[in-house]
Amino acid sequence: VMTVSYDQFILDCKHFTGISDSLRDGWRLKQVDGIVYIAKTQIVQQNSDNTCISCDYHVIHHVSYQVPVLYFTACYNTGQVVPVDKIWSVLVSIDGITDKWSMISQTDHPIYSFPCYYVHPCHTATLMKNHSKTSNYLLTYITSVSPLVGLHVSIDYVQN
Amino acid sequence: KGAWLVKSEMATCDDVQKQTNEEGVPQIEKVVLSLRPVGNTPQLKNKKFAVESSRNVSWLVQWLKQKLKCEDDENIFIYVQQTFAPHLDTQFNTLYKCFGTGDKLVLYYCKSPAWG
Repeated sequence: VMTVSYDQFILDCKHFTGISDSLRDGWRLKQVDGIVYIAKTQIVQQNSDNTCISCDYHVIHHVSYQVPVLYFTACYNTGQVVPVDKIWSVLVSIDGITDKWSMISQTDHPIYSFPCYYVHPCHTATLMKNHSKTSNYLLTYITSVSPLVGLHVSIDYVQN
Repeated sequence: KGAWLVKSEMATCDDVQKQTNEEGVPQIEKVVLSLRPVGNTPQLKNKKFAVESSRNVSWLVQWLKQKLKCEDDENIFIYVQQTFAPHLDTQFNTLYKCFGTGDKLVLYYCKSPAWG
């Protein structure tokens, strides 16, 4: 497996949000309870009756696995949480994968404790072991999982 | 001025060269890909191909899944510069403009067990 230390993760986050600022892409560097992570809010669907789904993405370093983990929640503009079956059809696009729950599951947010979805850290570790030559661990991780969760990361992140 | 026949979706570099030299053949824009494996991913016999520049990453993923005989639960990921996985909708003409070196576009591919 290929892990990343929390110190390196913080450096990667600062670099990542720096690029995001220059692109006005909306990723914010946050520090809560001493924990540094990055967050982004995105509207992923706009329906004809003016309802839309707002999704919050957090990438937080996992202490035990020593890898970044993507957590996300999705709400309608009424504040109502998007139900599980809608999550699959709207947000999560998985081509040809039979067992969705093996990648995305539910948990309590590690900082705020509310229920959310996440990509399990053991999947990060498995994926990243192929990427020993990446020049940007966090960028590789985020772009690898982003198609799963309706997140779009511009090519300009690597241009910088 | 014989008829051009492309035997498969993926023309070799020789075909592209012939195409540009032949008279009366319409110029179709192609991008030469150089595909390199990452990690334990198997290597392709021929790593250099020319593809329609309007094709996108999603198309390449499907092609590689077929070529590498992937199981249903295996995944292919494509990366530029071993670092960035472009969105599946991204077309090769875009990638070539951004990351093309010389006459080709180097892409890294990774076969991952689908998350388990």
